[in-house]
Amino acid sequence: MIIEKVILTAPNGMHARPAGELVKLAKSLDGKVTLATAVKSVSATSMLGVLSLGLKSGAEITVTAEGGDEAANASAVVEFIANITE
Amino acid sequence: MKTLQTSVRASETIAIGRAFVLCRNHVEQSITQGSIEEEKARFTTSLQSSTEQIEALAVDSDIFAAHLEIVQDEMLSDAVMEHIGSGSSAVEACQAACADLVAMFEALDDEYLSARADDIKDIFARIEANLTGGLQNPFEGVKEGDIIVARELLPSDMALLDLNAIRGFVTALGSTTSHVCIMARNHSLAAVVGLGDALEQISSGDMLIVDSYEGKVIINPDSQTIDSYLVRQLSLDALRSEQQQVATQTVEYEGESVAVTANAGSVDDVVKAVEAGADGVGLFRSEFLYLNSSVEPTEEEQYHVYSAAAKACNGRPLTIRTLDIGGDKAVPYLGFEREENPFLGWRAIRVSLDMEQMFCRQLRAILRASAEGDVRVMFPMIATLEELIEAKRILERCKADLTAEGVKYNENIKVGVMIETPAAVFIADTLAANCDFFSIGTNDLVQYIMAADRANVKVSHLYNPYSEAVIRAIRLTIESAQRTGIECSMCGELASDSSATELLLEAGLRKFSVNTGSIAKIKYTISKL
Repeated sequence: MIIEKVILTAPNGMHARPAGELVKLAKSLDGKVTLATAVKSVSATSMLGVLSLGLKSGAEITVTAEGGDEAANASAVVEFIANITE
Repeated sequence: MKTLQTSVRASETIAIGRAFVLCRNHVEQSITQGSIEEEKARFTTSLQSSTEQIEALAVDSDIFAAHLEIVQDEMLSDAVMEHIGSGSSAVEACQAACADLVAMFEALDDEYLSARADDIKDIFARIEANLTGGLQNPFEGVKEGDIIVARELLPSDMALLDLNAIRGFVTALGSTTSHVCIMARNHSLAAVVGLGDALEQISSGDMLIVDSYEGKVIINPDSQTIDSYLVRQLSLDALRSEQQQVATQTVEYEGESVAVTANAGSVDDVVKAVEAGADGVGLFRSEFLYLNSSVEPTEEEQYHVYSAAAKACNGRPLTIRTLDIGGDKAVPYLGFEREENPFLGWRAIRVSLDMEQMFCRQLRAILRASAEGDVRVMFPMIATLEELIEAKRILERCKADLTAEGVKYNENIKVGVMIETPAAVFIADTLAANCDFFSIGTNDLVQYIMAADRANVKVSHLYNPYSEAVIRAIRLTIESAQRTGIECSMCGELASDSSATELLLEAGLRKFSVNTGSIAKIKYTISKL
């Protein structure tokens, strides 16, 4: 299991479109990825889950990868979140 | 006889008919709860059927396309499975999971996301219906001429109803912007919404009078009341058919022809407006393109819509207003920040001028559509001459680009200014010298001149389009247009108000842009002067 932290810098927070793309990315990975805030943790493959975190710009997200190539999976998701700009 | 009253005016129709009270099929009690595995299997089967049903509906509906994404979400099934695992029946588990998810989304501080709560309710209602003996049509037994009475009517319900067979709706929940009200207005049905628990006083089979003019429902009226409503209905029908005859004709005032055009917010609206007799579209709102999507619409997407609207106008003028939104709307890709005063903030032309690339994509799409009809472009919220000049400079650059690319457009496309700020009124003569037409947007103009928010009940009495200050501003604007020889139109609700028509004509207005439902009324009013 690999745990990494990332800050969401996207000015509009995690909105429908980036959330949809993130879910698509997570579904393509071989292995489980979860996203967590201080309040709760959800699967990165659930659109409802990702949206329900209500992530605003500046939020700190804990990314946990389990199974498959954990290092690659975690960094793919972290990189995706860090690069959301819209 | 009993009368239920709301303050909501949902549509403009009167209906008399029998109540059909919608019962959601709560027959689950008759089903014995099986083992955890059996309940899980039952849920899986109903989820599967629900997905298939939504898939079929999603083909031509954005609402159901969004539902499809949610129904397939693992979070939804996980939540239900968890409740079943701890001993709930499949139905109980769905109810509990639905309540959890709805609460979670309603709690989010975001207009778009809280709205997803309604989608979740609708989806769970479907799954539950599938669990309890298949999705029965809850409207089975509805007779021609019935009035549907329900606590709430969701898009899934409306998809099952034959709107040509029924006369109206009565609901406990809902506001004028609810799906049910929009459908009622589009189909000229009577609707009274937001009755609350008073709705329980209505039983299936009761005779109802639904008066959507006054937001009133009369249960089991006496024969005298029915007679008086029948008379009213007849006179309304007579008036409407008389108005209808004028609707498709051109009308005149003191020998000058007066154009009665429509306000439209989609291609469908344009088609309906033309059918209703509109002399063109005086205000085509482009916001829906931007609000219905989580990404900015492309030039190509916009061009298709503008071009379809131009074709639907069939030679009549189509005035496209460039993007008119601000911080009161959530548009993810525009980067709106929370503002203290969104109506005095970064909105409309101010946004477009700051986001030149996006503005260009819209202008290019409008220009391309101008090759296919009498398309005009109009800028909202202009407050200075510099804004108009800058907007025109960008328009000219787009024209030059299109010429260089060999794309066809109307080189002499007419450029107009919405007069909706007091600033624009005071410099109307200067603006008139630099554009081809005005359109007075009374809704914002009244609010800005009177400094009163009409949604604030404590000051809404000040929001009065008949105020001396507003009337003078309108006169000043029309006179400036006349002196320069440019056209002046009025969109905004005052144009649709037949008690203002004569006053506006006397002030020199010769072009009205009104709600499609008011075209016949305004043309009729003008023809009778």
